[in-house]
Amino acid sequence: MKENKFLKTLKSGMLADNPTFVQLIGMCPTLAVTTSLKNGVSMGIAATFVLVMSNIVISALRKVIPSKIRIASYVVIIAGFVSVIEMLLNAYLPDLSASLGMFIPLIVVNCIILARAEAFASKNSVWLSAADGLGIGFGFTIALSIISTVREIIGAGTIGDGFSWALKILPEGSSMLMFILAPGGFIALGIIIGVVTLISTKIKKGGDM
Amino acid sequence: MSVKEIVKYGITLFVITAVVGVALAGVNFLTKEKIAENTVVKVQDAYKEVIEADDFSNEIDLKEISDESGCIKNIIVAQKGGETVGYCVKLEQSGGYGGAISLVVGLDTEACVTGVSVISHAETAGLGANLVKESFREQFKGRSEEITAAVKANPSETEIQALSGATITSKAVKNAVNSSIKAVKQINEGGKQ
Repeated sequence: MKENKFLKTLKSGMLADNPTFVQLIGMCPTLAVTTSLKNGVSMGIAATFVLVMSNIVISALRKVIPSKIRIASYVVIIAGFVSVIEMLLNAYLPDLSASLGMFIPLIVVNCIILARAEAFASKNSVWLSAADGLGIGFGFTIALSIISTVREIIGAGTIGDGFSWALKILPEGSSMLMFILAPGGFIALGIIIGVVTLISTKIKKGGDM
Repeated sequence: MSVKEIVKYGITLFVITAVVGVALAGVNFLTKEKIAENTVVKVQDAYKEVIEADDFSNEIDLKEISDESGCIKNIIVAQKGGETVGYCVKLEQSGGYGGAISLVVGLDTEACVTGVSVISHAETAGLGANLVKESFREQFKGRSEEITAAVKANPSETEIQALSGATITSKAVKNAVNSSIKAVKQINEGGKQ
């Protein structure tokens, strides 16, 4: 039974409760970070890590934190985690820290983490909260990857910039620069959410037949 | 809320923030030295990247040159086999899009740029952040005269090609290189006139 619930929570975090495509939360970092596939994936992985850890801690403390001061407590715990991770990375994995660089402090203001602490971790067991963290985190990372792939190809004409396997897809100068800037972010995000919703509605309809 | 409740919540919150605060202080204490070490290594690596030399232990006293920008923080004498082969100018260049850009400009004894290495920056990912790309930094090699502008296309002999969508970042790097060239020329002429 426990095994099933874990996988179920994991799956719903990635699909039915996908933070970006379904819940539409964490939009700010999503727009800011999806300028290249590498940035999107890096942010996704870092955020997933913080999300799982904070979900576990907040779930473990859920019976101890009084409801009236829970938001303040969650924010302190989450910000503390992010700062600790930042220091550890800077000290022991400086190269990784240089690549992820500015994204780590940005995680503190990622409302997905606070939202999950409030909506799930404060009401469920540690085990399931970890599953939720993983599922939502993966869902977030997948969403970021899709959006940044689209924006990077159209906006910069490359894919995988920053990785060793980077490819140039469009000829020099022919990309629509707007797509890696703010307006393009909104346009790309809106269209992709529309497409994802269309596909998932069709799948649901097909399943009901 | 009764006074009792206020006190209870206040104390609970205090305990939580105290525990997190101690954890932060603890991790900070444990990692402080390592982080400082890493920064030193990073800077040393930057020196080695911009100029071929093995000794960077000597520094020029900044009082001997006049730097209008105020961005030059160190001028290291690059030596190889006991001989001075050039200089590494370390700058905290202001005017970047996201704030100061920390970089090193290497020059030979003729004030000719041998390389540019970026230590840290806060430029926009996908745009100004491309300043770390070799294709952009390569342009500065061999320059020994002031670069007049960073242009969008077809740079002349005294200009450089700006990063696409990032003219502010490009100008900041250009200014850093110009300051470095000026500083080394002053050193060659025997310091402040």
